[in-house]
Amino acid sequence: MAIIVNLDVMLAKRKMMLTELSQRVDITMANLSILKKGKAKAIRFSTLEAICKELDCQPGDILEFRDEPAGESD
Amino acid sequence: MCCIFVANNLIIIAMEKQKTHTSIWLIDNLSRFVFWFFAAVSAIFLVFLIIHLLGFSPKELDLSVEFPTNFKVYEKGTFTLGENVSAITISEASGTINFENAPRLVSVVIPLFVVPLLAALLYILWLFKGFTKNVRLGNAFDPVNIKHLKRMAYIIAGVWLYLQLTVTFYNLFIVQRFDFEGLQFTFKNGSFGSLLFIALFVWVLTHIFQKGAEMEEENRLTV
Repeated sequence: MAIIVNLDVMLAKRKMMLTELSQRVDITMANLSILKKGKAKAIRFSTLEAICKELDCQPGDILEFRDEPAGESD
Repeated sequence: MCCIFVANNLIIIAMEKQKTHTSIWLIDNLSRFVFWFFAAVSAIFLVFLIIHLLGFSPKELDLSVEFPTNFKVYEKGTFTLGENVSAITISEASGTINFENAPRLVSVVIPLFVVPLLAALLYILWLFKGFTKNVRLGNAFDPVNIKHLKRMAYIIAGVWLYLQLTVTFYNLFIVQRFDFEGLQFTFKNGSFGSLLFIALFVWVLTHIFQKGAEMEEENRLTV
């Protein structure tokens, strides 16, 4: 997928576990896991806002666009 | 113990009903009942057919085989509506031919024509039973449901085609051998157009459910 989710990078920087983030932002572990693995098809602004608030970062720190050659994307 | 068992099951049924709409719960149970009832009737018919094919049916059995058919008539009559009386005529009528002590060829071949129909209808009912069960459980857009709908559409279309061919065969090889003084039989293909319409409708429904499944998947993967 062309949009890369760097949630694990931010979690490592903030020294936070995924379970802790899940409890703080009130998003299920399953959903956060989907996001972290890059399987998510879409993310709501409310979710992005909650994550950025907890991790004290910008959306660009979590989401990255990588221009992949044709045939590699989803 | 018996009362506790019954009460327990009633509570489970009541709780299940609360989760799904009552109409869906009713349709699901009705489809299950109709399937098993039809399966039982088909089994009895098959057993009787096998007995008859093997020649074990009683010789004294007066087998009646009924066929629908159309014939020309010309009768004048009147139609009364209040004070108005109109003259009317009947030009064509349909009726049922009843074979009394049907010849063996008829009593064997005709039921054999019914067997594929029975199998198709039973399969459709089984698919529908599975479909309504999934809807009741909240999995309306399950891939299995889409597969069931697609198969239902194919089979209903197949049944339509089969009936058209059967009626043609009946008119060509059976009706032509009827001999009634004063009656002229008309060759009329059965109008099973409603079946074809249902098949097409179910086919369109399949595509709608496919779209629903895609949207559900996208929603599930939206964080």
